[in-house]
Amino acid sequence: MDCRQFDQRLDELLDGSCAPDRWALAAAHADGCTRCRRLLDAVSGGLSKMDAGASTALTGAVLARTSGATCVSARDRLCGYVDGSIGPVDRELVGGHLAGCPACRSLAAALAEVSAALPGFAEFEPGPGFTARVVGRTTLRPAVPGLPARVAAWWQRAVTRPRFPLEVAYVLTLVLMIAVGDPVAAFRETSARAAAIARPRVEAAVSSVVEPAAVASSDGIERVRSAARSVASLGSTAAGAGGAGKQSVVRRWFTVVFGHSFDALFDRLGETASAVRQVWGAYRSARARDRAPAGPAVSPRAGSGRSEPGTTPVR
Amino acid sequence: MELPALLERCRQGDDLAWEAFVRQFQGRVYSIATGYASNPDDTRDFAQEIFVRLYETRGRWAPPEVFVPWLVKVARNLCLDQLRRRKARPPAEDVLADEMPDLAGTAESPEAAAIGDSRRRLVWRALRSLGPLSREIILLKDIQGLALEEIATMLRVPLGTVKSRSNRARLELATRVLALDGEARTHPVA
Repeated sequence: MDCRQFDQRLDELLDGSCAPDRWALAAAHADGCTRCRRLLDAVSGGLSKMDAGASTALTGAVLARTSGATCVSARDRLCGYVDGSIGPVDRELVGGHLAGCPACRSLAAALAEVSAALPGFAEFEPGPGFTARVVGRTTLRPAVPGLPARVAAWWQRAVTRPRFPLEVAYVLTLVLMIAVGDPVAAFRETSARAAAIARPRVEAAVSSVVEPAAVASSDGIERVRSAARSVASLGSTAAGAGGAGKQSVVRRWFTVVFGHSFDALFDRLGETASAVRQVWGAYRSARARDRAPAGPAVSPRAGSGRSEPGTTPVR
Repeated sequence: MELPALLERCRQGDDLAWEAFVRQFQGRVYSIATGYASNPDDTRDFAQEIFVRLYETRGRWAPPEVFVPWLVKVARNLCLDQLRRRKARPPAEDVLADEMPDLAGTAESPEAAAIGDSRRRLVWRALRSLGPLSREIILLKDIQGLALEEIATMLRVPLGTVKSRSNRARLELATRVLALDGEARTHPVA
């Protein structure tokens, strides 16, 4: 068999159409032929076998020129890989990455170690005496009751306090004010209504006092004046009869008692009476004017010419 | 004793049941307190305060089927309250894990005794060196075993955020472990 026939047999072998006995002859030729032997190795891959370092370097170089480093993607799924919570495809992909990436492989190993160690930190024995200290601090304390019990206890304390009725009254007043509204509103017009009712009565009472007083003062002044004149004439008579000293004594006594002389005193009384009459007249006139729009004007002096005390109609 | 019966006895005021409850849950409570306290003394104080509060509120405990997640939540909130009261920051920002004798040294604190061998201690140191959020998520999910939904509710963040942060926190923890491991190999302790 020559090298040309070997090439034909090799093509048949790669096509799958070469019978084993025919290939046995070709293999025997390759054993003795360096050229055909190298060709056979190249086809079967034996010549291209690379060490792991070279393979990793080649993969890294290819990734650097294409998709970039895949460590970030692998670490995104590394926790799931360690926990076994990712799907089989992802698991195979991450496994493939770990086979070629020592850094991620170390991280995965550390992650597995951490995952195994962490549950062991769930409980620490706090040491001897801890239970005794806790029990000693707690068993003397009363339990805090629930909300209903606390509310009931508060109510029990509240109702037994002396000021509780006052507080209840206060609260009810507030509730009433809120429910009803302004409690003063009903009394807001009271003063005006009361004034309307009381005014005629006050006027009647005033007129019943002032008019008789004016009349009485006028009459009294005349009487006093006539009495004084009688006294004066009596004094003159007495003086004429040699009793001038007594008249002087009487006048001096009046002056000391009333602070005025006789004449001055009576003059002032007369002025006061006339002033009272003027004031009363002005008041009656003003009242008549006030009543005029409600009805026919009535002179305060109409009829008997003077209102009798107590006869003014009361509204 | 089964948990429902134990909880019911505690509610009824049975002191022996309460002691059994403390014994049963003190390891878990202490572990949670360890995740938030900055030193062993604070850890013990936090754990005791948690039990005191549990005792005071034993009439209002969660039902047995959800008791453990509820306990974790209560313990976490009380630890945060304690930290706020002390105006302290989370331990990772205050005290480096390497500077904590109970974790890095040989002192036989409860944590050190529980952590045990050097590899677990390495993981513990790496965990204490994480940021507060990563550490808390690992504490709640990977250590205490809470569901992601419960953590999302507790931390008031979306579920997707918890998922992504959980994976990120574990990767960060693994990275820290590798770094500490490298340091240990480079500078072995005599």
